[in-house]
Amino acid sequence: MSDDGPGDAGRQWVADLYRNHGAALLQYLTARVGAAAAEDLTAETFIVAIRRRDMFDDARGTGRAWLFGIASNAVREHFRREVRYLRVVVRAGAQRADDQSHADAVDDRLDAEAAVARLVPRLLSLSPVDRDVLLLTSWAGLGPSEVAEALGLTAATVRSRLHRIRRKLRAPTPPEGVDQLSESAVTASPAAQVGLKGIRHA
Amino acid sequence: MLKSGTPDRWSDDDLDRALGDLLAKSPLDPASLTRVTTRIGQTAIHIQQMSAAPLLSSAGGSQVRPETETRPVRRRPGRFNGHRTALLITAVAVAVAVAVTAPLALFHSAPALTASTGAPLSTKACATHNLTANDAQPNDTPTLAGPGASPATTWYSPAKAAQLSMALQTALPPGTCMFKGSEWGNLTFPDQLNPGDAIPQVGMLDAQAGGRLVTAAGDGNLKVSMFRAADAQSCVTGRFDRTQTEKDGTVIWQLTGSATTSTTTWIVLVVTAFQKNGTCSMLRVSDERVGADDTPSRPGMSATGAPPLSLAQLTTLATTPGLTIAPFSDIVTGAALFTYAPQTGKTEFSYPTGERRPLPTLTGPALTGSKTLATSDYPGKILVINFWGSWCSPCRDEADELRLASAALDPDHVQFLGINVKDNTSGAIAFNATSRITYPSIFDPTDLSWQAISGESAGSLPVTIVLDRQHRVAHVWLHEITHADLGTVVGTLLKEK
Repeated sequence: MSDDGPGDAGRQWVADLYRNHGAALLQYLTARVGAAAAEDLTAETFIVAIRRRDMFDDARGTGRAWLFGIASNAVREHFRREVRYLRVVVRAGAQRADDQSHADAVDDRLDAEAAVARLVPRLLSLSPVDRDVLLLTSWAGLGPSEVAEALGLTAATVRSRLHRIRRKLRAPTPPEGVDQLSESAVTASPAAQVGLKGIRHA
Repeated sequence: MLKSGTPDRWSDDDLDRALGDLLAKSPLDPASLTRVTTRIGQTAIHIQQMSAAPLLSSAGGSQVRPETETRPVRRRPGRFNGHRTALLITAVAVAVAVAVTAPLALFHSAPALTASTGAPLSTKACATHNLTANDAQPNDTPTLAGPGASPATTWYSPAKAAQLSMALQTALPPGTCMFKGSEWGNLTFPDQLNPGDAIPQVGMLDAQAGGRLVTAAGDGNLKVSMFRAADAQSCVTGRFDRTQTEKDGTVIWQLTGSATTSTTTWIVLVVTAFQKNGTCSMLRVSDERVGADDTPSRPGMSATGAPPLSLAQLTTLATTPGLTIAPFSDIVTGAALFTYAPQTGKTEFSYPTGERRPLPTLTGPALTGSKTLATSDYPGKILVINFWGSWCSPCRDEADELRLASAALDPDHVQFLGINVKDNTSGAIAFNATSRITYPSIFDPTDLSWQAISGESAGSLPVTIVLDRQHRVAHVWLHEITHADLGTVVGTLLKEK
């Protein structure tokens, strides 16, 4: 085997990242943008990681945070997909709930569908960064410092944002519905334009 | 309609629950992970001019043990009351660790299993414990399979299997495993095994003719018993691994082995269980076979003996929301249960009253929601059980017919139940929405239900089984049906009693 020094170590490091976090990342992205787009984004994320692995500075954070940071930027580029996908999820749930309501209606499922239907438009009304903060915490299980690392914020900012976001999502009056949310409006947000350029350590 | 418009303020728990439910709507499709792995590997070659092997399989690289050298996914649900998410993510990580290490450490070269590390069992060890069929001859009366089964098929009750398993285990050195060649199909789980339980015993039944219990293994937490087929020729090797992840204490047991039979050269068997903090998270058994010339005996299987299919199933299990272990736990209860025995060419079976056998109770998580469904939920009703998958195009054609029949038949007397196999939730839910199917389905991505009945994978869907009011199998179709077919059969059953 040819020895290319640090290259080998870096390669192994990315391979380990994939081994440890590949499925979790794919799961996270699947929940945000759907399976097809998630595959693209996961592959893209790791390919970027391979290219830029030498730029990772482990004094500045965990590999996992770095990875989810790359992925978060990738998600923003595909924000339209996220909107579309989450709408489909809600509609499928609502349809399902309607279909079932006549028969052996299961209250907790209906409640769950209703809660999800209420949650999704609110999620989509968050700014992309806020959505990342919330879902990296809730879905990907990252801690505040990792979220901060991934998104280029400070941990204190993440904590206070999380608090604010949660308060907003729990609020009684629903914001605009998912169907009213315009795709152009969300993609026009500046954060959505950051794209891969926003990767830290790069 | 729904409560989505109600103005009440959510508690933190409400929010966390909704977030968890939304996440659960997008389970990870294991095939997806496989595709990503392939893509990254290919691209990596392209951009790095390097072999993909060191990157993703470590096949030629250092023997890294990810459990000890790298960081497992941290459990950090945070504010999220996300037991399920934490479990899910942890389970994914574990599944990946297994998916990557198993081909590396255990399967990289199937014939080289004899040289594997750990606690390999040589043929000598095998000979030492080379139990004869008589050793394992059950004393209880073997229960024969249902109508049409080969009379040579022997079934053991779980109690008996456990007894044999325990007896044999004491004869084995602790921490080791061995077995003689086995053709195996059905897997029995102990009754009432739920998430949170330790795994007391796992038994395996031979679906082929002339099966005999050969041996058992375990380390006190997981015990496995195996049955040998009549045509098994030699014992090759097996090993039993127990690894504990560094950080979160997840314990992985894995039992692997291979054997030679007259028809199949290599049989690679994997039994995997995960135990976390003393509780069982997951259990999976798979078998994969490689033909005599090392060519894959199944599509998608690599010639090295690595079992991508089963590991994909593993991942599916790990990522099933509201994971239920052994969803079909009481498959063999010792009674004379119906089992479908394949008969070449025949795709429809009708059983007159005197020949009917009860179907094992099938239970599993509902396709939607968090409920567990069971055939026993509908006592006294005629039950129409349809095995389907959104990937199955005849199922799509058939869906209209089933919908018509389910609408036409009196719900007070006839219940429809789908068993959604080898599928993902989003595809399956979309299928039902499109087809306007409103009756419930059990979500069975690993296809345990049909395997339990037939001893084989549900290769060809749809399958429909009609149970009479006593839940005995009255009719089976192994092909798509019309509402008229169902009407005729169910109509006859309705007149009984």
